[in-house]
Amino acid sequence: MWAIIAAFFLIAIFVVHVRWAKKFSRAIDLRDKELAQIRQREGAAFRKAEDQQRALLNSMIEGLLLLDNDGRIQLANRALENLFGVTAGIYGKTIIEAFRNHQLAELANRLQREREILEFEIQLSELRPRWFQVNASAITDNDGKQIGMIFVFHDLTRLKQLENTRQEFVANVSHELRTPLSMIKGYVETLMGGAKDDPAVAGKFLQTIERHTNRLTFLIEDLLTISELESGRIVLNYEDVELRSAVQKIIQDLQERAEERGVELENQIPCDLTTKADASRVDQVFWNLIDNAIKYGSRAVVVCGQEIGDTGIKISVADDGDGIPPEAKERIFERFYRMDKARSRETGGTGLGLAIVKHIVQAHHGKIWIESQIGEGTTFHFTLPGIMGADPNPPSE
Amino acid sequence: MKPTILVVDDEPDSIELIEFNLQNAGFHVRTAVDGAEALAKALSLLPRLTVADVMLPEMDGFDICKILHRGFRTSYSRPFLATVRGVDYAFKMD
Repeated sequence: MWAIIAAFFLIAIFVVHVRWAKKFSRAIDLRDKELAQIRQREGAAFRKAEDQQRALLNSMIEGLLLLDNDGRIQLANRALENLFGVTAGIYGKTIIEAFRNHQLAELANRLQREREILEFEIQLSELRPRWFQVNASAITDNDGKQIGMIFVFHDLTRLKQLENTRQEFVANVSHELRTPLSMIKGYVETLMGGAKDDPAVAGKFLQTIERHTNRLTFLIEDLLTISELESGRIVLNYEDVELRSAVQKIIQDLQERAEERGVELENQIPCDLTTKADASRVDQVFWNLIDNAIKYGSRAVVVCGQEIGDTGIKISVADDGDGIPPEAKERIFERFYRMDKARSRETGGTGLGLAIVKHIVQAHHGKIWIESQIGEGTTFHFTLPGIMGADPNPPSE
Repeated sequence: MKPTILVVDDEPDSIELIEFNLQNAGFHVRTAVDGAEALAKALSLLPRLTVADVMLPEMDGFDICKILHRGFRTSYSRPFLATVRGVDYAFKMD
């Protein structure tokens, strides 16, 4: 009897054990599944965060460089790779290995002592020099122990270039203003010192003084024009301009000067060619280009124009002068650029005429370019809006 | 005999002005429009004084003075620099 009870009991325990074991294994499976799901979610979230971080770092304009405590590169964003022309292969290298720049290595050394360096400027002397402003900071753990360094590079090259251009312009302007002024002063002092008593000398000196005052007047007029054009505040009064008569007017004004130099002026613009532009500015463009062509050793100047598509007009001013060497073609529209200083003084140019022309054409959303062969003349081409394609109120540039 | 002065400037009006005043002051004046001409004339004329514009194309006034100063026969010619730029050049010549 006891044996039967014991056996029954054992069987009961066994059955209970099996059932519980099943239940447990189901619970474990469930837990494992949940765990896997959580891991997957976390992994995705982590990858997402990582992607976001990378996107964030790569969208920065500033170059970012992260070093570990041994001075080895841990991270560099895309801007830095572009700024220094390096690739991801720099990871794990030291600054001197990766960039071959002693200033940077020096900065990293300084950072070990100073913890933070702000607005440090470095210049890379390459083919085209570049400037950077660097902010550097030590990364520390909770105990204040240094565990790495971070460098942020801000590219100053464009700013420096603008600054240089501005300084050059101011230096040029002051030189161009002082030269005629010192001439006028010198001649006036010489006249007052006794030269006025000799009528022949006095007459000659007064002519020289007048020439230099004219030069100053033209220069100041051109400077005012160019500063107005460059300020971006220029307002263009768009109207229909009949090009043939506009050119004819300028040719009449310049005829006398052209005859003095034996230059023939020819207007080949077709009768019905009309542009929508600021009439007085367009006059200025024609004046400067034709006047230029008369000055530079040509015998004939031809102005012609044609429609290009529905939206534009191409105008060309061609001379048969000495031509422009290729190296000057790029620079001829720069302020105060002169191919031949002596000749431009002779002809009385201010050095700003072509810069003004370029600005006016660009303000009309046009292009200007040069075709020239040495000894075979120069042709200036530029475009103006056609009557159909003109935007009545385009934004001024 | 009048002492000779060499005037170097690429601005013809400037040369005329300096020449007129120096001649009135009793000097013999010769002129040149650029560095190459100035050095050639300095060698043949051996001027007592060379008045050079600082801003010249190719070779500037400083270069002319330095070369004259180094030359054995021209080294006693006193250099004098004329410029419209003012005093910023005055300290560079020593």
